[in-house]
Amino acid sequence: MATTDTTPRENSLEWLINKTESVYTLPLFYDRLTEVINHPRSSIEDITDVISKDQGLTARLLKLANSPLFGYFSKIDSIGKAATIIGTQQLQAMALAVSVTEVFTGIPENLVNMKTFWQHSIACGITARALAIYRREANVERVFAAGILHDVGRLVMCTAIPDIFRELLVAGREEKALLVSLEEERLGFSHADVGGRLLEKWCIPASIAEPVACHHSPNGARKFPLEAAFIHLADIICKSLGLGFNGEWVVPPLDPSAWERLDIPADALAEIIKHVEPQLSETTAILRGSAP
Amino acid sequence: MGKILTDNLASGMILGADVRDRSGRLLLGTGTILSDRHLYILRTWGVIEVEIAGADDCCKGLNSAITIEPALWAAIEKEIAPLFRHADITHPAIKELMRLRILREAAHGNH
Amino acid sequence: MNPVSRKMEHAAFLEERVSYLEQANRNYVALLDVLASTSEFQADLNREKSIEGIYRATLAQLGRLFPFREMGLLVNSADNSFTLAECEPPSCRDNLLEGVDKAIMDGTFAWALNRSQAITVPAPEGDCILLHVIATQNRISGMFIGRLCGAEKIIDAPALNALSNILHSSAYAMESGILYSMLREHLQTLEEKVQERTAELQSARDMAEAGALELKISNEQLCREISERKRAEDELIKAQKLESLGVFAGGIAHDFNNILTSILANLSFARMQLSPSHTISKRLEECEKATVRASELTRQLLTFARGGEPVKKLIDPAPLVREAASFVLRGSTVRSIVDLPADLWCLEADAGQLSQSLHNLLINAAQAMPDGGEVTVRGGNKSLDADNTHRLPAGDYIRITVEDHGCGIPRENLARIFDPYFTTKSQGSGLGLASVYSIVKRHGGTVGISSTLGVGSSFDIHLPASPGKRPEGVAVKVTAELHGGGRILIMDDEDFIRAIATEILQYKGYEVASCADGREAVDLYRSARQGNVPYAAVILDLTIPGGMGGKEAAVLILELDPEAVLIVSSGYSNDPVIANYQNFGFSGSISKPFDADTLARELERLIAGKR
Repeated sequence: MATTDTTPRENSLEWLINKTESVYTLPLFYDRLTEVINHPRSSIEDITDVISKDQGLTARLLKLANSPLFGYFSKIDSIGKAATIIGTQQLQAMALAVSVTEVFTGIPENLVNMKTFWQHSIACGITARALAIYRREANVERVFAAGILHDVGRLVMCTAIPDIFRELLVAGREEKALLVSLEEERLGFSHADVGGRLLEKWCIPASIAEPVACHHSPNGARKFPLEAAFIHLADIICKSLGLGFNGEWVVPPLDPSAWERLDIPADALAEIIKHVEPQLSETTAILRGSAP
Repeated sequence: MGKILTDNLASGMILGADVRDRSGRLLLGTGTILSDRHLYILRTWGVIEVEIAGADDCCKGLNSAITIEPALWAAIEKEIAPLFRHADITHPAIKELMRLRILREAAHGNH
Repeated sequence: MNPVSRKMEHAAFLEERVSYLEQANRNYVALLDVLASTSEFQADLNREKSIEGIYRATLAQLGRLFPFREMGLLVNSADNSFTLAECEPPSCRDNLLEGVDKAIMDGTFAWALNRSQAITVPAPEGDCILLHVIATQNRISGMFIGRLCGAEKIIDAPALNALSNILHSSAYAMESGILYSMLREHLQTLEEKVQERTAELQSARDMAEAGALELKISNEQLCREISERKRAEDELIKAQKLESLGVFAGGIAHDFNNILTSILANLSFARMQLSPSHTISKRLEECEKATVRASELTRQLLTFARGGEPVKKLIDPAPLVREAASFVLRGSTVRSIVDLPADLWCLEADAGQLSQSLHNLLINAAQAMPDGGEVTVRGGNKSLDADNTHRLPAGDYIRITVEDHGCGIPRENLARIFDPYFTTKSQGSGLGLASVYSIVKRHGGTVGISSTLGVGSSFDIHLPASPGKRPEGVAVKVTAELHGGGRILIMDDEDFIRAIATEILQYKGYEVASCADGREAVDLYRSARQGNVPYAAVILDLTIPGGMGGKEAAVLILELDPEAVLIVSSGYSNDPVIANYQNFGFSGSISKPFDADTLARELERLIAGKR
């Protein structure tokens, strides 16, 4: 059947993205922030100006910067100070982290409970960040943001193909099967692919988009395999410990080569994880505001 | 023995526990009699609070090790087994995560 | 808005865009230049062995990246404080330290320690201070601090990432640099110890010879206390070296000796069957000699083997010394002068080991004088009191000095001269002097050395003596052709040894049976006795891997027949059972490798002695 129709096939990856593209868009400030941070002649003041225009964002960023997650000695009372102390690139990643939960509203609650969904995502972000800190990686906020965004593909599925996704959720629960495998069998792609593609559309840097796209197949990451491994392991840790709930009923399999790439001794996990839970509720409150 | 904020420390106090930085590196050992120089080192490394011998312990017992009855352990282990059915439970990381889950379940007193 | 002003606005926007792109382009070209020099920088780090060099190379590279007005490196000291190790320019030291102090007090410093990225904080006069930790995953080595002019706004992300990369490389270089300097320090200490020890030996000797000992006693006492510990450590190291060599030697000894036994016995047996005038006979004799030399070498190695106590007998050292001097130097351009007092004391010693030591010292002396010369061997009696410089217990000793006039030994080699496998000669095995050391030590003596380059060396042995005792005279052996008769049982786990021993003894007129382990030997002995065809003698191998050895078999056979003639054979010539075979019920011993003649003679002697 020859056709000139360029509309993607129903239920394909592109179709899903197109269908939700107009629903889920990043706040305007994010593009402006990217522009000003990348501009070679920008100053800290220029960045402060962009962020300060959004009072909600400013308040959440400062709350996050002063939360136990950061553990900074004294008070960070201005965006200017946050930009110098935390770094501008880091601030950009944090801005993404604190604004993304607001983007996804109106998801049918009978499919996924948004409270536990974000709990899992934020726990994954905090855990991935803790793993990166353990490894002494630069720009751990990027890993934090990627962790928070890693399952947004599932939210896209909830909106675009609610009936199919419900079937998959039920099958996963009743057969104790891997949801990510069921997605691939039924659709030919997984929520990771959807999330990665959405972030690409949003012009989020590859250092965040690729780890999201590859968080179930960390070896598929060509540019940022280490970051992908952080998200991969953090997701497994949060599933193992039952932190939040993302629709998946079982612990996904661990890729042994990703574990080896991280080079973290197994007995260090307890110490790394120990600090995650106490930070979880406060960080969730900051990121989600008063949302249910 | 109890925790005291670095800001409230004075020289002459005696450390009641090893002081480590965030990555576990030993900075000052138990029994060190704090001098001004030590206080400066604590500040350098961003240590917020330390254990001081003889200070009141407000949170005693909170960190004490939990001992779990073997029967309870086995019961929890059985209960969480389906969760790990797709994971390689012989892998050291997964083994450790299962152990941590069991400890967590037992600590939360769900059993 | 009219079209003209809209156009102008558009033009202004484009102009701004172009200038932005130009600026960005300049920045990236500059950054690329710095990154291109990264490989050069890496090479600098790898070449640089001193920590200070690494600091300087790092600062130079960072200076290419950002126009720092002042910069410095703080290093993490043992007490976990930070000290400023390097700064540029040098005059900025106080300024930087002030900045560091402020950062520590307001917590920025601690913050920077835990973030692997650049942290910038405002500084007076509109400047800003940049902090970046220098750390690998395992270890925080230090902190970089740089001061930038107010005009320089550093939010250029790629340049900041390049800064992180440079400091990460430096952190690795510093970590390995620190390890390297620790190693160097350790080597230095060792070197100093060696020199100290050499100097002590030299001064102790000088003092003794000058007879000024008494005057120096208090001083020496002090020296001794200081050096006692070091000496003990040195001795321990030496002992450990010898022990590991001993384990190795002991491990191969059994098999190696069995092979030599087979070779030697076959050769001698073959020669026995030829007329001495036969042309082949001469060749066989040469082979035999070579085999004997090989077994000598094995014995030298075995001297180190564990549990190898010397087989001590009361001996007169004088003939041993004379024999050694004439034997070793025969045919060489070196002449020996032997100067022994007529009343040289006798001593309890292993004659074989003692002459081996003398051989080794004489060979060493001869090799030191390739163009010929004189070796003086002096002997003397010496009674030492408790305060002697040789660290020997008070008592009677004989002293043997072997002195050459050769090239001498460089100072740095003196302390290692007795180490196994230490040699300065192309043809040396490095075992000669080590075995001297080992043998003398086992006899409760000491060996010392003094040497002057270009003048010669002198080795000095002290051995505990037994004044007033003399060995009993030994009857000269009758070397008549001996022929035996009777039944002999041979027990050995190696079938090629059983085969050749059987053939030799059959040739000598014996009736021979053989078996491979002790249990079998006992059974055979029992049934032979019951059948009234008893064995005249039994040769028992001491060690049977995985089976009953000669020691246990002897006990069981003697239970059957207290009069049994038992001969123990072993490759471990210094095994206590071989040394004191009578205590274990044996009538004689044969150490492997043996030749046909020795085997036949020992057997004949014992059977004849019984008859």
